[in-house]
Amino acid sequence: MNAIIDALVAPLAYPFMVRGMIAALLVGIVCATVGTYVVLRGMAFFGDALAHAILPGVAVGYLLGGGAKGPLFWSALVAAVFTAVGIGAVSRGARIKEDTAIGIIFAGMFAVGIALISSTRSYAVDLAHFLFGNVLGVSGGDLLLIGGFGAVVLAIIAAFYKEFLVISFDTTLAATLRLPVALLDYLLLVLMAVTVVVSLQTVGVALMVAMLVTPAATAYLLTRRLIVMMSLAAAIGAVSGVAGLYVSYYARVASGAAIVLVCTAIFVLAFLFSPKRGRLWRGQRS
Amino acid sequence: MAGVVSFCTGVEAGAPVARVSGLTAGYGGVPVIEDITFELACGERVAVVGPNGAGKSTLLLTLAGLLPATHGEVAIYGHEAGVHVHISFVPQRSRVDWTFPVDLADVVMMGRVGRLGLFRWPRARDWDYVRGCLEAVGMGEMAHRQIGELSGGQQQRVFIARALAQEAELMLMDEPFTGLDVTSQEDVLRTLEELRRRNVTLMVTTHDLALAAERFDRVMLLNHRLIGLGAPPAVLTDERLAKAYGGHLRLLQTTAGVGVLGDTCCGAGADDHERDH
Repeated sequence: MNAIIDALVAPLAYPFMVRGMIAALLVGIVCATVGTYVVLRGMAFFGDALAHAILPGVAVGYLLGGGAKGPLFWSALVAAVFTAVGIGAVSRGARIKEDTAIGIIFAGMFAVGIALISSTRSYAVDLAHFLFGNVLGVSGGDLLLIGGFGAVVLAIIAAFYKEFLVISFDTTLAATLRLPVALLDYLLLVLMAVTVVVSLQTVGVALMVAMLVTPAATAYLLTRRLIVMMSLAAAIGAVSGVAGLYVSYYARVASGAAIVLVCTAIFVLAFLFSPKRGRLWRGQRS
Repeated sequence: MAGVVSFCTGVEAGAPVARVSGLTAGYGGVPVIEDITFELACGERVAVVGPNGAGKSTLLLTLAGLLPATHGEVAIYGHEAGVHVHISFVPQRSRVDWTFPVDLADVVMMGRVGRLGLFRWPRARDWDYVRGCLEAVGMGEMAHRQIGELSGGQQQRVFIARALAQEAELMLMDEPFTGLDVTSQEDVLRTLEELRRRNVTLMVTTHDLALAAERFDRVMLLNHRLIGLGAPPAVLTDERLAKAYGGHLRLLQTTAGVGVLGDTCCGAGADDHERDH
């Protein structure tokens, strides 16, 4: 017993591990909550594209700041919001199919990002950080940004919960209720963009989509009610974040990969052992 | 649940709920319906019939304010279409994601979203109201079932409950009877009586001419243009049906008049994909 406690406490002796844990926990919660909409609205490809498309923003911030991390967050945020709104606008006025438009925009922007980063000397190392994250490099200031923006995202989702539910389930109803459907759609896209930027340091660009999609998909297998699905997804995301860091510490594997692997393992368990979708939670209400 | 609201009392005597004049609408510049003119009286029930691609769904979408008119005017309670909030539009069942994680009470509560207003979560009082709406359609016991577990008829009844929750004055239903067995059709029709009791004006599209003739106050015969609108026997005449359906209709001539055996065009189970542009 003591050995287990020791094993759990040992990594916490390092302040960078504690900061990493808090970051992974926050990111797990925010990503999974927003990811619920990503899963229900079939936007996994959009989420993946969004993560990749912020690379030029990251690169510009990186070049301007001469490697300092301050400007990096903000330029990534600008790039993400720009991309989200851009894809939204393109798919609305669609003359080509939405997924095609996303494919073009994201690969193009990703290429710009790689081109910019490759112009610097320490190209390989830096690119690896952006692609796969570096949660152990999170500073106190980063934590404040993650916590602050994460709280804003969650607050907006709570405030517009029923409106987001209606536009996701039944656009026609939303229109007959005269809700501002386009505005709410864009707001949701911007929330996804902010989430992706906030999570960048934890899992990186390449694995971001897993944080958005996997916990929410796992929760979807276990419940048939949105509010439960959202809470469950957040819990799974949080657990994956923290457990992933322990795995990373003891197995000496990259932190982002470890977090995503824990997520995936939980999904596989749910996929195999939830006897019938919803069985677990039926009868718990009313 | 609050006492039954009669929506007609607020309307000036004889004033129409909907006034449509010279309406033309369609997709990408191609008109699907053209030069349609009619009025709906408060509390009446109208069935819209016509062959696939006739523009039945398009007409409903335009009335709901979901599709702009390219020509002509649509006025609902004297307002432009798209402004009035007490319209309920029930899409064809195939257009709803039945795997979405919501239960019946959640779906009906969606009808109250406008009433609740921004930044407010439903309270016990609101859930009671929703429960009352579900009870009115005979589904109170199933409030916490997931929507994917419902039969076709039950799915339609949940949407009727949602219209009640929305306090809709005009309800537009696209193919509510398609794919239902006779028992389920009867259930839905019985539930629609609840709407009549509240003087909700109802317009449905259907492929079933017999049902339209027997169960509705007026029938609208549509094929791109308005071919007839009025009491069923006056509208569903040999001549007009031939005009609407061409050769795709089997008629049964009897001493009592014309009976329709079936619309042989395209099959009742097929969705018309007017909305897919």
